[in-house]
Amino acid sequence: MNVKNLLSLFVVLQLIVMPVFAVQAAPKDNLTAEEQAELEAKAAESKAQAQETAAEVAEKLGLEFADLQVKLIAGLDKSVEAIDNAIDTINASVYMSSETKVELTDGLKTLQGKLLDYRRQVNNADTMEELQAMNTEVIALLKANKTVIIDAIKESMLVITEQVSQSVEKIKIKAEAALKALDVECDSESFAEIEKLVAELETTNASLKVAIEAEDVATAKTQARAAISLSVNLAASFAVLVDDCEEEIQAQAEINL
Amino acid sequence: MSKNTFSAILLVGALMLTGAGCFNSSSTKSSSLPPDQEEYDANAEVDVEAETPDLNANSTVEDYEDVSAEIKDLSEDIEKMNAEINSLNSVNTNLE
Repeated sequence: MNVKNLLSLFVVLQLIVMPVFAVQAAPKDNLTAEEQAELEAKAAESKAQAQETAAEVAEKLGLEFADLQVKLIAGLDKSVEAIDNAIDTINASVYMSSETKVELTDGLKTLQGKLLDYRRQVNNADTMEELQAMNTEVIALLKANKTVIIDAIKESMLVITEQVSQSVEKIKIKAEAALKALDVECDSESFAEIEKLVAELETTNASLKVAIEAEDVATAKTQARAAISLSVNLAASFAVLVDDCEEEIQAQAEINL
Repeated sequence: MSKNTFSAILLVGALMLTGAGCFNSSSTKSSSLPPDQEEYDANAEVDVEAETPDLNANSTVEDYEDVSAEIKDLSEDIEKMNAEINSLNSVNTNLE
């Protein structure tokens, strides 16, 4: 240590030590014992108050920061979980191609990535200002994307109702072709029943197609539900028809051999 | 040109022709799922000719039973599709 540093240290020590001695010595020299006691009591009280206030402020600030951080992370986790659930449900479909699934979940994954990025930032934040700024950004992001899950789910439903429509169409094609080919004298009520069900399926499918075209998910769902009972009944009636007309079909096939 | 250099060029050429050197190629992706699942596509049209059963005056009971089974399978598919629609319907669409 050189002389210059030694002198600097001395000056600093003087600045710290001298006022302390001066303050402690002053009351003893100029005040009565009562006044001195009163002054000391006030000083102790002020000191206690100051300590309490500082502790309170620190505690309050600390809690607010932690509260907001926990709330933000919990909110982000809920959003990420909701997106995860939507992605999993779409990916679980066996009636959509992988390409369609990628298209439908693309927007969801992008938003999820942004939310996870914000979660990391919130987790690493040090100040209240940082948290508040991120809170504002997250709210804006969610506001701008509030229909992202709804849209993906709606689109998925329309894709599947389109598959329902195509399956109904296939059933209709098969049933009509079979009725046309089944040129036998057979006493079965199923003939009329199948014709009636095919006509009803055709009407239902026409309404379903209109709803899909108009992206009217509610109507599409209703028509798809209606197609279940009609197609199940048609399948049952067709099985009965083949059973009822078994002998006639066999006889006709043998004649034409 | 050395023998090794010539072999390397041949190998690169073969990789380029077969596309084996391309990572994440579409052919790899599309073969990752069962073929029946890949058949489903929102834009696919029903192939009427392919769906029309080959029935005529010579058709046997077994032929009609096959068509009956196809209709039953399709109606079961529609039931499963509706179950999927219900699952999608129950997804929480709210973002916090």
